Amino acid sequence: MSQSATDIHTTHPKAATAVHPLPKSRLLGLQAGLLIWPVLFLVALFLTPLLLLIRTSLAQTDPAVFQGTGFSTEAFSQLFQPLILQSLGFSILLAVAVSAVTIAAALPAAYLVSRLGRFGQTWWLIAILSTLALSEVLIAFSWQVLLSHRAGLSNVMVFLGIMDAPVSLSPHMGAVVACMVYFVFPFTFLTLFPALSRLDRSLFEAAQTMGAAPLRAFFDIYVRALKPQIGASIAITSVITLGAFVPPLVLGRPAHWTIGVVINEVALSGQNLPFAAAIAILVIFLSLTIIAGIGRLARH
Amino acid sequence: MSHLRIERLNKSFGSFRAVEDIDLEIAEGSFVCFLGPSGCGKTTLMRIIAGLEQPSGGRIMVRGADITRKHVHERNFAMIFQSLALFPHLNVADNIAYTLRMRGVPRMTLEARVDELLALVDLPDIGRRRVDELSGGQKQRVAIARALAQDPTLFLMDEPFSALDAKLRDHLQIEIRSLQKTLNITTIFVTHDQREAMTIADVIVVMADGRIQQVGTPNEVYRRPANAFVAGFIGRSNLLPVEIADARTVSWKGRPITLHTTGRAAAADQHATLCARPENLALSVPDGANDALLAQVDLVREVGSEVEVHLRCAGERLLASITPAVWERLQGQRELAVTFDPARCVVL
Repeated sequence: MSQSATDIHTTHPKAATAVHPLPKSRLLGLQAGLLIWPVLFLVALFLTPLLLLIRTSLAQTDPAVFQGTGFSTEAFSQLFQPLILQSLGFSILLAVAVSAVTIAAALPAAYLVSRLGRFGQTWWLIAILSTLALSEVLIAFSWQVLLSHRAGLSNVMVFLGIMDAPVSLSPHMGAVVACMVYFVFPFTFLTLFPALSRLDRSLFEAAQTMGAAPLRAFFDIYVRALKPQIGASIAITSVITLGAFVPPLVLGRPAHWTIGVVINEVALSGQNLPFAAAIAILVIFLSLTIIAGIGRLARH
Repeated sequence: MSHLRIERLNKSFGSFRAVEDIDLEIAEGSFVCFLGPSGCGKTTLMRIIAGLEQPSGGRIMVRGADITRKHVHERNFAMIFQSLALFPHLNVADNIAYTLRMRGVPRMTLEARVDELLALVDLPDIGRRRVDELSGGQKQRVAIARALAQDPTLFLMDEPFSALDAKLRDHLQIEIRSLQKTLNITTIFVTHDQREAMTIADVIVVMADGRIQQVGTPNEVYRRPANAFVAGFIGRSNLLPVEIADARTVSWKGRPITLHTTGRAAAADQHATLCARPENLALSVPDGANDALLAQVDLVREVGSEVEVHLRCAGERLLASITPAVWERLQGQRELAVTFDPARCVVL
């Protein structure tokens, strides 16, 4: 106790003496008191649901009780069946596709916006941020209309003479990807933009004076120097895509269902909550593995 | 043949004319300084030479070949930026090796070359360090090594030492100058610091308002400034409005000042400016001669090796720089006689 009190005193001498002329013990009490608040939140909003999830996954299915009863590892032994593995595989594939398209679009976009004046930057940021106000449901159904046979993009294509007749572009994997890219774009943009605008422009010019053609220089500077931010974007995109629910349901075929949709099906249509909980735990592990893996890659 | 020749070069940004009608020849192996106040177009001119900006008009020739439209990455001009632009995501060795990798130099040769360059700038064994772990002086040297790795046709430096303290700056100026001489690389150095330009350059290109004001050796631009701007920008000077009396005399406030030459044909009442450096003024105790120019002592500053005497003469301020020994003989006088060195004072 006294040890930590001296620590605080030595690391923040001014804060402790000049700003808070409180006795050390009271100061510590205050700090501990302030910490209770976030801890309460974590326990209530994160730990409790997680524990309930684990508890449910370890229950025996019971036709009479939705969340199951007793203890059993039955749910986990069911995990490795084709339905689950296929859906997981597809989810990962979708995450890779969405990440790739989003980075490919957001990096040049963030670069161009970072080159604008203050005014231009502000308006672009507001415009991109405003799409965050739209719900996943609204976005998915808007894309459905946009890709439809009657009112969609294909009519514009026909009008421009690019296509012969209007067609419906959903359900299709491309439709799911397009909708997910739209959904995660602002997150990626906002992850890349601050680092990009801080990056010294002369780095890009220096690379060129050293013999790198513009495209190569762009890759060597903007892509490689932003590796940590790109890694973070891929992690965010992957986790969001793994949990995507409405877009695959509205815009994809059953083969395009992500693991999130499968969990819903198992829980509600299959009335098997323990099994759904077990799949959810698998997804949590998968997400953590992806984040850890990307974090490792970005550091080296 | 000159190494670099610039012909009628222009650059406008909208209605702002950053660089106007530049004609310049730079000799092989010379060290040239572009000197001028901020906004004079010196950096723009260097960026055009590097290929980072396209000129609005004019040509740039290197050893007789027109390179005006050549891409930056094809020019092989090394450039040290004001910010140095060391790649933060690469270590020291990879920074230096960047240009060699672009050329596909094999790994063994590449590693040997990096070591050689690090030894050249006196920084062996720091290849594995991260760039942000280096001190200011070390970063400068890494930037120099990285530029030399290119084996460049032309070496461009944009105020590379402006962020350093005076001592380190002096040290690096000497180092870069001796490196440049040993390697015989034609170098252009942009600076706004006249002292830096005077001590480092073979040739100074003085610029103002997008135009070249004078091209000459440090001695020439100091001794024979081409105009009042150069005289005022490089070193201190007394700029006096005079009339040309004859081939050897000018008149200031009705008093004759005799020079070795005015450089003008005698034409009465022709207006001109006399540039007299503070050290070109001699002070003495008035001896009562009729045509002596008398001045009142305003302020005296003793600065070690010299004494600055601020004078007032017929409503004009004059600055004289004399030795402490001379000052000892004059001390206590409130009025002094001023004479101008006839050989050193220049009519502009």
